[in-house]
Amino acid sequence: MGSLVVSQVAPSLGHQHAYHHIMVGGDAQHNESETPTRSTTQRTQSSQSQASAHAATIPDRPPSPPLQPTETPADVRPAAGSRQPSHLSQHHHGFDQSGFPLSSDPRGLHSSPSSPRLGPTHRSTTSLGASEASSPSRLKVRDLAHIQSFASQEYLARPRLAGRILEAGRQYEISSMPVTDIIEMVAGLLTRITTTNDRQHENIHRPGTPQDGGSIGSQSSCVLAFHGKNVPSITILSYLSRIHKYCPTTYEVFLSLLVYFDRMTDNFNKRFLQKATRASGSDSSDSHASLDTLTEQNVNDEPQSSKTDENDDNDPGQFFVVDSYNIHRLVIAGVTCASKFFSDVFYTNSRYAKASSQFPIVFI
Amino acid sequence: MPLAELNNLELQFLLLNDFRLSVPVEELDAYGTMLVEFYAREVITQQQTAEAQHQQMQQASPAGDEVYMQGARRAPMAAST
Repeated sequence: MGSLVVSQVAPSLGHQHAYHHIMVGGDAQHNESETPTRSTTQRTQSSQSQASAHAATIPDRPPSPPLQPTETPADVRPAAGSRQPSHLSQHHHGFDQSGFPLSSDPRGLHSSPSSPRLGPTHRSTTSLGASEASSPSRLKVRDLAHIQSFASQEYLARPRLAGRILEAGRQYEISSMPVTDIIEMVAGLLTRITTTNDRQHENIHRPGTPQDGGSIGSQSSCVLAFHGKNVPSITILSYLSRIHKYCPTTYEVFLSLLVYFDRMTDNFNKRFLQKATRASGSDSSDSHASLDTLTEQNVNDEPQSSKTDENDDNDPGQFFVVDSYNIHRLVIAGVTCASKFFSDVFYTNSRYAKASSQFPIVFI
Repeated sequence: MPLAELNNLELQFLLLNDFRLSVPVEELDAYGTMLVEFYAREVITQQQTAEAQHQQMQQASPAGDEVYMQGARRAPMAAST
């Protein structure tokens, strides 16, 4: 979809500055209309839909619907809107200065006044165990076997609806699960995400070869710090297990990794988009490219369609994508940060460094 | 991994997160729910795969039995003629 728009819009950008703003306004609104449903769980969900697409190759599976992706973002969205106030207002401000319609960033309008979230900081340092588990739609998960049992029960009850078996709106309370089980789930999800993104990457060049350092500057080097030359041979599951073995922590740390990864990709790609927008002035096509890359849907189409103009400099390889090349570094850095944040007891960085020292380090 | 590198990664990680590490409880819950749903779907996918394989096996084996039965049936007939 997006690539189609890019190919229509991009080549003509040079001579159409006259109604440039109109295009920007329209496109921005269009973008806003689709971002909220994807806001924080963008990558995760896209990986889920990828996962379902992947699963659809299994012959017996019914045509995979967009699996429940409407409920999770609904849960997340309020938090997503309010937790990035300064970033969004900064965004908003930027749009203001460059004369874009105010309505182009509706999220900025309602979320900008909120203050830094000190309250949640305090709350999330406390354990989640006692958090409102009284709701009837809330299911307390004991362990992986429990999930397996209710998943297969639902599946046996309604095999044709297997894609949608999980009741919409039901929440799962995982605080009483063993940390190792949560690690297994996180590892499964991260593995699925990275393999999906690797596959998307295959046709475009690696982010290890920056073509346009000036466009995003230091941000780019932030991301490149995580990018290894080789894929470490250790699997994500054994890597996480290893970290947990040597530096045991609580489940919040591992769960929050997912949150942080989502935020990082969001933040970075938004910022990148903003800079690219200012640099080239070709806002609309850029924003589409970024959305597509964020959702990992049409990355493969980008190289062909965006080769036609200056966007070439800001090609999708520059976007921050969690893949097999950077996941291990992201994980260890994330665990280091998160365990300091979440637990009163944490370990020295040298201990984390030792725990993660099994894979060879090749740096760019 | 050298300590200096981890320190650098930690800093970059914080920079990319704007030094905002707080995660609202609701958001963490939502991710937990999402994670369980993901895992449940994985379980179901595996079951479906297993079932499909099982069906294929079953489809293959009755056919084999039939052939065998037909052969067995034919043999006495041939003997009787």
